[in-house]
Amino acid sequence: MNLFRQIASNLVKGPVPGDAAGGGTGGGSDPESDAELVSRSQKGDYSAFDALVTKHRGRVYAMIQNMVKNEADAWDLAQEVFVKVWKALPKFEARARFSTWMYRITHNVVYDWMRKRKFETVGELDDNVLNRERIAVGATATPAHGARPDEALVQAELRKKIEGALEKLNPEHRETILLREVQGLEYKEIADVMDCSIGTVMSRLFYARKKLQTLLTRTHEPES
Amino acid sequence: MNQNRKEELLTCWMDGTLSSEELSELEPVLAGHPELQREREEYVKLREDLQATIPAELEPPYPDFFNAHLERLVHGASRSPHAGPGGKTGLSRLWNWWMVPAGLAALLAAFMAGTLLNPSSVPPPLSAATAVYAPNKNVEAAAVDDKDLQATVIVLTGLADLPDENLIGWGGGSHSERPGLLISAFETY
Repeated sequence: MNLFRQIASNLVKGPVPGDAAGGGTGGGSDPESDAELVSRSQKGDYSAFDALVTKHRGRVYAMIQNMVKNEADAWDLAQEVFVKVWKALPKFEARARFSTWMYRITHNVVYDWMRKRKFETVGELDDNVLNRERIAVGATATPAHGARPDEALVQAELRKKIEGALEKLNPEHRETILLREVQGLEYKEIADVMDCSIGTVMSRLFYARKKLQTLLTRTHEPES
Repeated sequence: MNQNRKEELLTCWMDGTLSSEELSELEPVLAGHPELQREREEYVKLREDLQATIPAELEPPYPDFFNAHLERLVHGASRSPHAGPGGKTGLSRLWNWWMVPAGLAALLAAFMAGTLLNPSSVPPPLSAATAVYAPNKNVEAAAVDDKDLQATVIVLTGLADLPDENLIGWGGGSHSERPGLLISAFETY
């Protein structure tokens, strides 16, 4: 007789705190618009806020993960984003899209974290040093020629190259590229998120794209 | 044409969002730099690769625990968003998602110890301070505070049988910040 089974039969059953919030909405068969959910959340309806979280957590987490490149930190920061969203919801006005406003909070949380991290590890976060190491790793591990028969491998390799190139961009350029090309935001929305002018967004896009192209061209060049 | 204007027009041109007037304005630049056309074609391909390889959406690990934990943080901060700021998000460091399975296993060991020491005791009400989460949907998890033992225990039902030898040791003692929470580290399954 398994000891665990014996013990389990003595248990006291009860609801897991927060379980309904986590499992109940899961994508939602009756999706409400952000505006409706925001309006209900602003009145203190937590289930509406939970639905908003479920709807947007994937984008927030992806954005953060692509910026900080660490799962555990991205998880914590995504939590922080939604805590801030909840606290700031009463002040949210429907002039901007909810998602744009949420990206703005995400931007602030990530940059605060980066600043704090840089402050805590002065000297250790030298981008050039880190990037140089990554270039070397990518360069030796990545054959320049020869298509692989396995598409998944090719895709994985491509992803590695692109992620490596993105990491070599400075945070502003990387974020601009991610918001534009991956998240599909308009120039004006990116300007709102990053708290800069549209002209600055255009300029960042221009240089970030050029640098990205240069970096990826380099990784495709045969090793000498 | 100044540099800023040129960058702006070239960015829009790359995105295919130029108006016909803007295109006319840019044409002399394009005529003077035939390589731009090739760069544009390459970038279109790069954009496709970016979109195919970098996910716009990525579920966080343990997504339902993500919501449950967030709810605890939010309710710890305030009952209503109108109630103003409060709570410390730094607390989430105590709940790094990767600690969940190890924490559950540790608390299970504590429960076993408690049951063996005092099998007839009636379990007190659920802990209001402890959130538990089982990644497996078929497993139910419940938290119990045992005042006699000065312990918080987690009870799991729905797990497959485990060989007794895998239900290894347990650690006693109290966590400095949370008296009664028994901590033990061992392999989880």
